[in-house]
Amino acid sequence: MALALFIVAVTWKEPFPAIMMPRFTSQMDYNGIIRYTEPEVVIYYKDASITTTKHELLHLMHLPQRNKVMKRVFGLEKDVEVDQETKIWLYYRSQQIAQRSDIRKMEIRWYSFEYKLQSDKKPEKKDLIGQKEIRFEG
Amino acid sequence: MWPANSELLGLFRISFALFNLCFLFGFKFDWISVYPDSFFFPPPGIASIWHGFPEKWFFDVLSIAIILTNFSLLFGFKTRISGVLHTCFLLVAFAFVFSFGNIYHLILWAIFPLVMSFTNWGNSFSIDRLIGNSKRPVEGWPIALMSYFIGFAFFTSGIAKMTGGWLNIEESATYQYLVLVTFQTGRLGFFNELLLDASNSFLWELIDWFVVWFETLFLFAVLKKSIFRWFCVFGIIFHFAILVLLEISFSIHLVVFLVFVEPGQFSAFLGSINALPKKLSVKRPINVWISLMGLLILIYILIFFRFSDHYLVDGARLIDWISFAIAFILIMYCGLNSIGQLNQKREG
Repeated sequence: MALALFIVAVTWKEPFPAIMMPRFTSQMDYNGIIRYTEPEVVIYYKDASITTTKHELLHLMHLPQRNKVMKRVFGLEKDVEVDQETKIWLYYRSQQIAQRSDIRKMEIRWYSFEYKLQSDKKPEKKDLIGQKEIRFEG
Repeated sequence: MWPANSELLGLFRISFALFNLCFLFGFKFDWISVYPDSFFFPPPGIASIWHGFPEKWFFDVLSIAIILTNFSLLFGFKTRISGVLHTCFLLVAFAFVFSFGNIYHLILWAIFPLVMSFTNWGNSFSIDRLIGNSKRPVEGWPIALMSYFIGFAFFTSGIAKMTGGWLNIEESATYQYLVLVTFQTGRLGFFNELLLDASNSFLWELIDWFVVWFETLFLFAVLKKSIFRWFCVFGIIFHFAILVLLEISFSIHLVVFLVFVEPGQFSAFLGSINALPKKLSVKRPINVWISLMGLLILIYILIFFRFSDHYLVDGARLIDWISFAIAFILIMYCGLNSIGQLNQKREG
C-alpha cells in the first residue's frame, strides 16, 4: 500500500495521498528554507535594559506551552492590549528576572528566522517583523 | 483474548504505582496557579467550566488526592476504586496542564489504571488480598481494550501526519521538526547538530514514511497478539530514538506497554533475575520485586532532592534512561528466550 502510494506520489505529484488535504505548513521546504518566528523579550529599567527569552519569562511551564502562550497572548496577530492582571504578573516576573524594582516597560520583539540546510547550524537570517510594548509606569 | 495472570497483574500494578512515584516527582501541579488568566485557553473538557486557573489550594488538594490513590494502588488497598479515582484525578489535573493551549499524549497513561482496575489487578500482592477483599476473578478483556486504545492513539497520530502532508516527497516533516525543536523550542538532543547536517533527503523522507505507516498500521496490529507485541517493541525502539534525537520523553508509557509482555516470558525473566543472586537467598519473584521497589524508591528520593522543580519532564532525565534500559533488557531477554525456545522445538 505504501509502495503504491509512493508510485502515485512520484508520478502525479498532487493530489497525494488521496486523503491528503493541506500541506504540513507553509513554512516547510526541505530543499529550500525553513522559516519560523521567535520572540525576544526586552525589559527596560530606569537606566538600562536586559534582553531575555520566552524560556526565562515563562520558566515554570513546559517548553511547547511557552510557544503557544507567547503567540496567543503576546503575538502580533492579536492586536489587543495586555490586560491588567497580565501586566501585574509581567511586572513581578521582570523583577524576579533582573532582581530590580525600577521596571519601566517590556517589549516583545518578534523575529522571523530562516534556516537553510547545511548552512552553519544556526538560522541564517533574522528579521524584525513587529513588536508589542507593555508599559508599567502609572 | 489476552491472558490474565493474577500475580503478574499484581506486579504490573506495583510497577505502575512505583513508576509514577519515580517519574512524577510528587505530582506537583501548583505551578499552574502562578500564571494570569489571560494564559488560560483550555480545550473542550473539564477545565473549560472554569474561567481561569484555580487557586493554589485546588492543585494542592488534587496533588494529595493523586498521591493517596497512587499509594493505595501500590499497596493494593481498595484497588478498583483507587484506580478509577486515580484516573479521574489525573484527568482533572491534565485538563489544567493542557489549558495553556498545548495538548500532550499522556492520555494512555492516565486511563491505564481505570482500565486495568477491571482486570482486578488487586487480587495479588495487596492489602485487599490480606483482608479478603479480592473475591472477583481476574479478567483479560481490559488488557485487550487497552491494546485497542494504544492502537487507536497511534492510528490517530499517523492519520494526522498523513493528512498533514508528511508523505509529501518534496518536504521532510521530520527534518523540519528537528529544526524547530532545536532552534524554537530549545531542546538540544545528543545528536541535533550532527543531524542538522545530514543532507540525505531520501533518508529523511524514508523516516517520514516509516513514522506515518508505523503509526497508522498500529491499530490493525491489535487484531493479532504476536504482531501487536512486535509493534510494541518497535514502538519502544522508535520512541527511544525520538528521546535521543529530539528529547521528547516517552518513558511514561513504557509501564503501559509492560502488560503486553507474554506472561510466560515475563515469569521466565523474573525467574532468571531470581537465579542470579543465589547467595542472597532470593528465590521467589516477589522478593526480587521488593528489592527493586527499594532501589526505585532510593532513586526517587535522590532525584527528588536533586530536581524538585516540577512534575513533568522537559527533555530527558535519569528516570527516562533507567526506564528504557529496563525495557531493553526485558525486550532482549524475551527475544533471546523466544529464539532459544524455537531452537529447542526444532531440535525436539
